[in-house]
Amino acid sequence: MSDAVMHGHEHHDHHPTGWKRWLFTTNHKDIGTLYLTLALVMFFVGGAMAMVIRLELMHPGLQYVDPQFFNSMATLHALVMIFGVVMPGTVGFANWLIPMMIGAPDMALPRLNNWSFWILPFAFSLLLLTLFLPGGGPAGGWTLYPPLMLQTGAAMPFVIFAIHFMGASSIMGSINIIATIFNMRAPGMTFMRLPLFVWTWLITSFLLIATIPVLAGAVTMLLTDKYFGTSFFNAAGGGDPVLFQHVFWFFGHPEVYILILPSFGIVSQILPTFSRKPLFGYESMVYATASIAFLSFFVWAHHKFTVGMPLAGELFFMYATMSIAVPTGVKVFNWIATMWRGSLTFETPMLFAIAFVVLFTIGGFSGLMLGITPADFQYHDTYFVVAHFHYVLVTGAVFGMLGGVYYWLPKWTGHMYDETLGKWHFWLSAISVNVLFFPQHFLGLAGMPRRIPDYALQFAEWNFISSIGGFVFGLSQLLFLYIIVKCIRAGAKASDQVWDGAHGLEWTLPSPPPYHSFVSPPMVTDATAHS
Amino acid sequence: MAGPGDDPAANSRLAARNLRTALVLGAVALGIYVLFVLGYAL
Ligand code: HEM
Ligand SMILES: [Cu+2]
Repeated sequence: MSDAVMHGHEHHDHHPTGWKRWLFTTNHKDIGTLYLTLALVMFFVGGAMAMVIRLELMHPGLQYVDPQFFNSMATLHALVMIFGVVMPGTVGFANWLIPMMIGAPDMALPRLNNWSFWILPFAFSLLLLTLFLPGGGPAGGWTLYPPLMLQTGAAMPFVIFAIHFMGASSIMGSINIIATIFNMRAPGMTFMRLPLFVWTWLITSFLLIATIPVLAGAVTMLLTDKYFGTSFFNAAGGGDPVLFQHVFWFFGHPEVYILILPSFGIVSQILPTFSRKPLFGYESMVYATASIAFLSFFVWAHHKFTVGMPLAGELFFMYATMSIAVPTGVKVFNWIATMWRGSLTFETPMLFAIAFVVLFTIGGFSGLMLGITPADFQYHDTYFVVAHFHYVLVTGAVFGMLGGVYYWLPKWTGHMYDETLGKWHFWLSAISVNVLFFPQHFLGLAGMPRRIPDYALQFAEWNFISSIGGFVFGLSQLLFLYIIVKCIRAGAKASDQVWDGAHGLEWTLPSPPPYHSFVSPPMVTDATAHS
Repeated sequence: MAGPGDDPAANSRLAARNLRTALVLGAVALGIYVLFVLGYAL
């Protein structure tokens, strides 16, 4: 490292090129790019599966695929989108941005970083190749509930090993992020000066370290139930399938916050920039994020109200679930107050961020409805749940990341993206996503069950409309791909600050930034700290 | 709160600290996994 400082410039040129650069890289920006590329590829893989699902559901009756394959598509779509898109995507942002935002040269553990990434292509190959095994891919739903999951054919151990690999990757990534934030901050970069994106990732990392081992344990137990004669979840052998549901959701609910918190962070960076005001209530944002994360450990059974629990349990989990609305409300309030009386402009990142605030909140409200125990007895396992989690995940987590890509792409590539096309991408996506998912509320309230390839005739109209929205949304994302490729290859030269309202250390570096972000640590003061 | 410096001793202290952080967190994760599975298995 001392060499890097003294002979900074020569040092930069000594990294391998071609495929070796990517395979052996320990550089946070290269690894960030790899993660983001993987997420983009998986976005189209998972998206293609969604197109199969919406095609089959466009009309009542079975027409294009057989039900077993349909169920595989639903299962793999969820696993790919959660573990292959949102998680690696947000880790890509973390890799690119955290060192630049805290004034560090790189991540704390660069070789571990390389390993965390390169496990993932193997994991996803294992997962996706199960489609070609006898018996097909996993089809019991992404929640892997026994006994259904235990009926999976040859695919089951592959799926479980894939999940173990993904989990190992997430844990190593989290360790790296925590070590970087704890140990690598520039002088003066105190915790309360960290940009909110860094905070949200710090908290997310702790959630991952606490919950991924629980998921890994649960799927290991599934594996031994199937192949080694144990009966953890097998009622015939004295086990309890409901135990799996408890354990799975003890991981699963914190997991949904793992998916959303980094996007909370991204939106909290974008809104102040285009409002030309500091983030409203910075400290309360930090505490709200921490409270959400803490509370997320005590609400898991809202996913299984209908399985039968003592009344006290039903009530406890209902009230605990409601209580998360308080810190979530604080965040939404602060985002709106940040924009209040700001001098707003509506570039593409800002459009995605505003849409995030509005549409994520719709998902939050349907979540509250689902959290009411007696109401959930009707809503559970219907399309209402599907509508809920797509609002929080697509117009929440994914829109946050889309906004983040537009926001930092000029910094990453050194070129401005095509703003006109960006706006087209936004409006096409924002309109079609509502055509796609809003009607699913109606379908769910009317009683249409989730995870089925066929349905009763009275659901035909809204399903047709939803499918049209789905195809338009899917096609619009090809435009996104085109905009990114175009921006990487050419475009107006981006300035260092890129956006006139942008504050924070990453905007003090050139666009694109040098190979090692900060070779000598910057001095951070209140004036140069977070936006 | 060390950044990289031109002081090799500070750099190796930082590397040691990063490694310690990683080992502690890794042990926590592994501990949760092992306790969890063993807890049910026994
Ligand atoms: C704002 C507070 C939220 C509340 C009160 C809430 C509440 C709920 C409830 C009660 C369910 C279970 C419904 C059922 O199966 O009957 C549920 C499902 C779900 N929620 Fe939320 N939620 C909230 C936010 C989120 C967020 C932020 C995400 C992800 C980013 C999320 C993702 C999901 C997913 C993926 C499911 C479905 C899981 C499955 O069964 O496959 N939720 N939510
Ligand atoms: Cu939940």
